Amino acid sequence: MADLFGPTFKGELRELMNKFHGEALKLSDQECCEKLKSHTATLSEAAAINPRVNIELANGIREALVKALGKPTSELQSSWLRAAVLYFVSNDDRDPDFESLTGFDDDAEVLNLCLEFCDLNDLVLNVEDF
Amino acid sequence: MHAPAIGSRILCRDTEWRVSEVDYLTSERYVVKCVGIDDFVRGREARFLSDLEQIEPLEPEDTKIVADTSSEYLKSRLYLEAQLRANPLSTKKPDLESMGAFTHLRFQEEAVTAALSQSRVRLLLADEVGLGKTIQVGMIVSELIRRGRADKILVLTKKSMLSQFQAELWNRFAIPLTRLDSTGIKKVQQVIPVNKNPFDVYYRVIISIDTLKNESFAPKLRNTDWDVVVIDEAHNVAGATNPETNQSYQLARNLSHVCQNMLLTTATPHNGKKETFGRLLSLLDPTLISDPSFKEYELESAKNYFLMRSKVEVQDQLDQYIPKPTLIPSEETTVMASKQEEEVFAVLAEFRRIAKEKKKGSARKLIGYGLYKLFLSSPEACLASTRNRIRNIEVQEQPEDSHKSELDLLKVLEGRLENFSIEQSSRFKTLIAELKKIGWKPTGNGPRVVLFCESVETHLPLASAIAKAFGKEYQEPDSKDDYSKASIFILNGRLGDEEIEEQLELFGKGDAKVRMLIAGDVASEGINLHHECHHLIHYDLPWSIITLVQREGRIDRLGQKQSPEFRYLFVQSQNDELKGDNRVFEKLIEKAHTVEEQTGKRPGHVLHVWSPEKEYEIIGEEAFVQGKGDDIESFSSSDDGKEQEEQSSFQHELDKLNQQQKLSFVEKRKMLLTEVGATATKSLDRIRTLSDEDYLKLSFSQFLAEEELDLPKRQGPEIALQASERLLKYLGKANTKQGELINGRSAIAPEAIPTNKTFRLSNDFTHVEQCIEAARETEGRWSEVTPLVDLHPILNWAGENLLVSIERGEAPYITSNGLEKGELCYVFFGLVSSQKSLPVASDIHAVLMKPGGIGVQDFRVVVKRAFASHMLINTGASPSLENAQKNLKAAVNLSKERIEQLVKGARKTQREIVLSESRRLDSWARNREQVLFSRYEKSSPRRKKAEQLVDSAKKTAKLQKEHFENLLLPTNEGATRLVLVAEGV
Repeated sequence: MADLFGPTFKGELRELMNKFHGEALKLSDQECCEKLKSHTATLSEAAAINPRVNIELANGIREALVKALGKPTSELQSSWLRAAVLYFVSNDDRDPDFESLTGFDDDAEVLNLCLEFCDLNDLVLNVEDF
Repeated sequence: MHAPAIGSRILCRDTEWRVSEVDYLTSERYVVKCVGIDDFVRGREARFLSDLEQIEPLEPEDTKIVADTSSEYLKSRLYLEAQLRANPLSTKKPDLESMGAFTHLRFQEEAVTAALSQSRVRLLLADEVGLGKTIQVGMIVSELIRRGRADKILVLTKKSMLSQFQAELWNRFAIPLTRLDSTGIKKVQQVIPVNKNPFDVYYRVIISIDTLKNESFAPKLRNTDWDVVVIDEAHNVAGATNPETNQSYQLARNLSHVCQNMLLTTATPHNGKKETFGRLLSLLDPTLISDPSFKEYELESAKNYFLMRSKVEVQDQLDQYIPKPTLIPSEETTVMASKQEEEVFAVLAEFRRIAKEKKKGSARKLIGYGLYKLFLSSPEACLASTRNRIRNIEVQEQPEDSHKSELDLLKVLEGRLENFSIEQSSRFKTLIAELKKIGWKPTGNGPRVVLFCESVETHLPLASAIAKAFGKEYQEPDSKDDYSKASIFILNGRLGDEEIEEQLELFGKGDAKVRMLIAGDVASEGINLHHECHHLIHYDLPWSIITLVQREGRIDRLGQKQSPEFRYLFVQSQNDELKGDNRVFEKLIEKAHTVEEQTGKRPGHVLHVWSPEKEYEIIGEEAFVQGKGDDIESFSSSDDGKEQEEQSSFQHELDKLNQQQKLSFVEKRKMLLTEVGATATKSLDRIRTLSDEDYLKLSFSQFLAEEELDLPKRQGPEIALQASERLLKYLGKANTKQGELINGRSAIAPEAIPTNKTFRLSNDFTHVEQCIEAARETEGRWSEVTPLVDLHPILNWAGENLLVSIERGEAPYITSNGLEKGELCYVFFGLVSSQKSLPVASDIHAVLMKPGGIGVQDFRVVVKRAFASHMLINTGASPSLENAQKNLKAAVNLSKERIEQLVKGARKTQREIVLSESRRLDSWARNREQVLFSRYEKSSPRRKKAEQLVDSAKKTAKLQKEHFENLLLPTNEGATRLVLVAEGV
């Protein structure tokens, strides 16, 4: 597997992003938005019964990703954003999303690195706000 | 199937239980952990599996409303009061006024504020000696008990402190602790099933720190869910030379992982090095410092974890409580050396000259100043060591030449000491003169004196000589009985724990015969000697400012009523080599009394070392062997300039942080004093309809028929209460020979149970304090009168009985002329708990129903309008009982809606706390990884170990995050209960 995310990403995050990137190349922005939409429902259901879900941060990430996907970016930048979408909708990432209140902190870290890579710094999230 | 909410009631095996935990095995199957409510299972824990048991939730809408027929509705009023008292507080504001019998000092209250502002209490109380750290522990633990956060308490303290600590918490706060020494644990084990843990039997336990070393107890201690762990004089655990392999330290760290709240106390939190302080902090919270060697960390990150106040800092608060000490001028206690002493000094001076030529090491230490220091204690102490040294040299097959000359001189010294006894020494003669001046006598009621003397070899000759000088004969006590007759005690490390405890108890007791305590430095830490004594004489002077301060702190502390008098005995030699030495000693004394006042710093700062042994070596080496004079502050502790620089920078950092802390406390205090409630968690300042005294008397009046007892009677400021056998059993008194079970959940110390079974309680806390003083005069540590406070075990007993006085599934119905005619008032108790059953929010409210409207009000408002005793007159009428039952469902719905809001609010508040802690834990694990991997590169032989440590840190962070979430995050459902219905007439 080609390493597209070094040195921006390190360790486990880098491995995971490389894994998601293969699939990301097959997706359109529209498909990504649909994935985000259907994930929203899953998140709301989970949050209703599980107090460990940081729904505020998850919503923040989702909104930032939707906005980012609508911005003009290069092919490579766009593929990073799509990989970030796949990372977000996957529960099987570095820190499982629903097992702890910090379950989306790694998703936010991925999002922020991708946004910086795409020069979309105004969309970067501060996790402390959530 | 939906599991019941935590905090709700269920019926299982025809018994009522309160749900404390729910574990889902699958989405359908679950285990419910419960605490018994019905009489015969009360307080017992049980687990029920949903597959195997019929678990019926007791829904509030199914409550049967039953008219109360008791006169003046006493039954309902007491039931309501018991419910109010059993309801945990959730505000962060402490209630100090009715907490117990102690002097209220602002800096102590700040410790409580600091503790309550933490999500779980983790606090190092590192105040200077004599500032009442035990009182602060009592205050914090009281507040935790009131919040339902301190059911299981473990206190670890030095053996000599067990009884003192235990009595202090009982006498002043009515917090019972059961002392479990190794014999005690064995006794408990004999009467409980083999697989049962003795620490599960007793809920509030005090044990010796040494128990941590006992391998057989370690797993039992570890496997107990402690709510609070207190480690007194914690430096004794954290100060281990090699903490990673030290069993006590490791076990203490394990306890820190598993307990919810932890308090550490010490007056010596560090030895000047950042890593020793870090080690102590890490004991408090193992996830606080990323560097596993505790060398590199920001003190700033630990600022909320410790309090370190000196007497000087809080002097304005102490002025009226600790009289200023009197230092007897050295001119009055200095005598010229006798001819016989000068002869010995001549040899010791020669030794000092020889030592200058020797390399640094033990020989230079012994002959350069060791023997000299011993002679300053007594000829006997010096002779014993001289002979030892002679033997050691003589057994060497080929002694070095230098040893031969040393041997010759040692033999001269031996000769001059052989016929020299302590009685002939000038120091001893000065002592006798000073004792006479004080008016000391071995018999009668004269003043008590503490005579500190470092050298244990001196103790016995000194005691014998003093007795003889006053016409008595000293006899070493051999039994408890002997101690009660003896006038002079010798307290040193050679004694067993029980003997130490016996001596200390008698020395603090007014009518005991003992008049003098000759103490080694085993007595210089932690213990109270000030209750019946204000004279302290340093027979020999420790060459350590730290020890001087510690020694004097035994009588110069909170609670001392008279000005403590300190005396130092000096013998002035004319020998050229030695004659300037007294100036050094005087400088040590001066610094011990001024270092804090002048610099605001601890004693270790003078010589920049934090161990008495090091101070002794510096003084001996630099002042005497090297003859650098009396400018002791210029002495250097180490040749390593870097080390000194590090120590000084650490201290600077600590001082700065201390200053910031003080400012932040002022802010926090202001904030909390104006706090109405803890944000979404509703304010729950205590709601009471009865005073503690009325509650006690009225509740006992309910049990009279059953108990065949007299009513509690007021006698002056006290309430006398005769205990029934049932109450005594509740308080832990059981005849285990007859196979009776020990009620360890509510047990009090056997010493706290009066021999005539009549307890005396008082809400006049000044009177309670006077009784504690009076007890010291006659009884010893255990006062006859305890404070009547809400958490007193006798009030708890009354409460537990009242809570089951209403049939299961029923709520009483009363009328009130405070309500509008026909208005119905349903009183509900709502509770939101965490997964681990910690109450995170509670709310008592009333649903008010009248023609034309239904609404909810805070019970605090309604209680004034409708529940004052004069409004509750039972005429036998119950006009709308049926109507009340009919409308119950609507009232419950409204209550549930309110609780839903309470859950939402609590979730928001608690979520912020947990998130912040979880992120801190993640950051700690990441930083640890960074520190370890940068320290051990991939090629390093220790890399594998570093990787293991990193893995372990990640696991710890994960576990701690889970722990925080389970402990603090509210479950999705709250619970509400109907307690009472009132109707307006």
